[in-house]
Amino acid sequence: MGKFKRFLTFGLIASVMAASAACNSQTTTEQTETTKGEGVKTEAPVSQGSSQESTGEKTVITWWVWASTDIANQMAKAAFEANPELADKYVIEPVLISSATEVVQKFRMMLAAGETMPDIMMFQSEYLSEFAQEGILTDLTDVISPHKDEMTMGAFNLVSHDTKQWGFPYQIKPSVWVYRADMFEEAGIDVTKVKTTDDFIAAGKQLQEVYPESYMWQFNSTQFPYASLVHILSGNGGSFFDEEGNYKLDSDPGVRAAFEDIKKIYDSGIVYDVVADSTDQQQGFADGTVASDLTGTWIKNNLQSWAPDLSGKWEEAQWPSIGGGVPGGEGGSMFVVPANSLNSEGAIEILSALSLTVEGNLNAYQERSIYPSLTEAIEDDLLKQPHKYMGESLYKAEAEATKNFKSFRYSPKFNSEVDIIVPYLAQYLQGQATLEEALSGANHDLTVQLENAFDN
Amino acid sequence: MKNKMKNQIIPWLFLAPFLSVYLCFFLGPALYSFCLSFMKYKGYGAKSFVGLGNYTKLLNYPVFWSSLKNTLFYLIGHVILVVILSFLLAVLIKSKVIKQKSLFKVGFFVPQITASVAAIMIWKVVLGTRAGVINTLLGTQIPFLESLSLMKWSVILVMAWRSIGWYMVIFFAGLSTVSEEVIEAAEIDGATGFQRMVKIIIPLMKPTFVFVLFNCCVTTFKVYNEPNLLIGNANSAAPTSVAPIMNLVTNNIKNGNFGTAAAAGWLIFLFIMIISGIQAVILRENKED
Repeated sequence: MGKFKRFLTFGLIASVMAASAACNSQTTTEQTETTKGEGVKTEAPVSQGSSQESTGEKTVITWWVWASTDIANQMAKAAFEANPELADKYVIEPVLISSATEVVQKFRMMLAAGETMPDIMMFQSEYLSEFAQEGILTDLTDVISPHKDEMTMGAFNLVSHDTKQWGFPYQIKPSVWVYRADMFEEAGIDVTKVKTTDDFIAAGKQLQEVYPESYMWQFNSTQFPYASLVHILSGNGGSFFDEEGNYKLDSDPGVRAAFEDIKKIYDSGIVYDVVADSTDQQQGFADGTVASDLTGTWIKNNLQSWAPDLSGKWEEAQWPSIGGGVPGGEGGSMFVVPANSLNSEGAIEILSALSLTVEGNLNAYQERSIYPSLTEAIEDDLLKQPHKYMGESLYKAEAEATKNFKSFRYSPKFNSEVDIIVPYLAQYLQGQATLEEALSGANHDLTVQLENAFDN
Repeated sequence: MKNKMKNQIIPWLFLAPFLSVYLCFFLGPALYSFCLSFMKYKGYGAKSFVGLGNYTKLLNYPVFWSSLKNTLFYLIGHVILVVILSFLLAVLIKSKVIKQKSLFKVGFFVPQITASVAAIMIWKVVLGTRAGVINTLLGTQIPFLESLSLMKWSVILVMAWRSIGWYMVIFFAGLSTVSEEVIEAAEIDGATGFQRMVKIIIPLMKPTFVFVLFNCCVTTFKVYNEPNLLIGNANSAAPTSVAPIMNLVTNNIKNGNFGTAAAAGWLIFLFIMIISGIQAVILRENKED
């Protein structure tokens, strides 16, 4: 009996310990998971059941960003300088997530788990339509719409969905053509005369007469960047679906023209076929292999780290017309306030000071070269000063690009759509499919896999 | 009677910790995902029952079949390369040729314990076309990561680099179970080195080979990091020309199609069962042995 009691006791203790370890490991896994998602970690976002703590008298505002926690810190600083009272009330807890896609994935997981959301999230515009229509985000119409006339059209449209506003604009990404002014000058290329796809190809040939190993555009032909496709379609009005949400890729003239022109440019030999985010890509910008790139305004921050020695040699201009229209932009990023965050009022106060005041806009420009959303801020002399890296061309180019900014029509299933479309574009570029085969194949898969663009 | 009860209860008490963890963290979620595979669910909002809709969607998706083809390519290439190389390495290290056995064992095992993401990012630099280490040393521009015909081999190379050490250790342990007396007897009988290897050592190590093959096949079928980090990038997964079948799970999770992701996971499970079943039939012990 004594032995039996000992065995029974041991077994029960072991079971309790295992159960406790299981519960702790789940919590530890969450914390570790959160920590892993943070590059430069400050503190993890709180999970359900915990209260958002105050640091002394100040309320902690959790702020999710990707790329760098500097974004949250610098934007908070910009807001606090615009409204010093906020600095006495709030302290920022930046949380770094590895990428824009990861932010949304993490967001979905927390929604599925019923966890409390962060107070501010950096958010890519292509996700807005999905989450806005589900009521997951705070409706900011009453906050933003009174400022509509003060904002650029691009900034206002960026955060709008279905006549309401759902975020504070952070970085609109209008289309810009960055180029090595020194190399173009030597090759005799005048960017103001490059207006069409054929002009662009001709300029590329001209460049390669002087610099045979240099290219006018860079992308990976096996994984064409969907952002570049969005740039082109925003300019020519192309869409994957009709008004009812039925997919019509094979009959849309804008999509067809985009595919054709991308292939024409690729086949001309002026494109640097390189894997994105690779050493080759970054080295290409630094050593002159990439003499120009058709991209968005965000590129200037990357150029400074990829090619620090080329300060003053890169300039900006407008895209030529590709696919039958001058590209407008690839959307942009914004700051949203999840509907069930704990400190939404504080979040809205801070973001209003940042995005809806001239001083906040100008502070953000000084901190991170973020182009203002308010027209009054754009007219400020600060923006007319030569950019520390891009020089004098930046102001005019970005002002023009922002004026020409056009939004692409995203559906709630945009990411699933590009996952289907991009491989077919890759097959077309590689010569493995004709244009008809690529468009009809993609349209068939869109219809079978996704059924309808709006049916969520 | 009491002893009989005690003998029946005590094993369950010892199993209780494992069973509770297994139920909570494996079986429970597995059953939930199986049910989810018949639903349409975004992670929030209501679930709707779609029957076999998720499965038929996947089976009608060309990318599913190309991903399966890619995965089978990795399976065959990786398994053959790893089994042969790791066995030969184990034989080499066990032989009298190598003096510093511990040093070599550790050296070959290090890739296994290296953080996989960090290792793959370094390989991305090594295999770069213009600024990569290999091309710079050779003075060439071999597009390891851009050529359709070379991309998959680059993935297999990195996978093999990571796993050879692990299986080498397993084969080394297996070689240690082969009796030296049997080998000496064969040597005395005039068997050459090659004959000893093929007719004595390998047959006696059959259980080790079976274990390695099963393990390698299951692990390779679930490959994800190597193709996506080596060929893809932070913002997009690997292109469909190299994407493994696991991408169907992760892409659907990324896009909020949790039902389809669960269905993809169960289809992967089914394929692994089929492959394991084929292996079991081919490699089963002959009763006459």
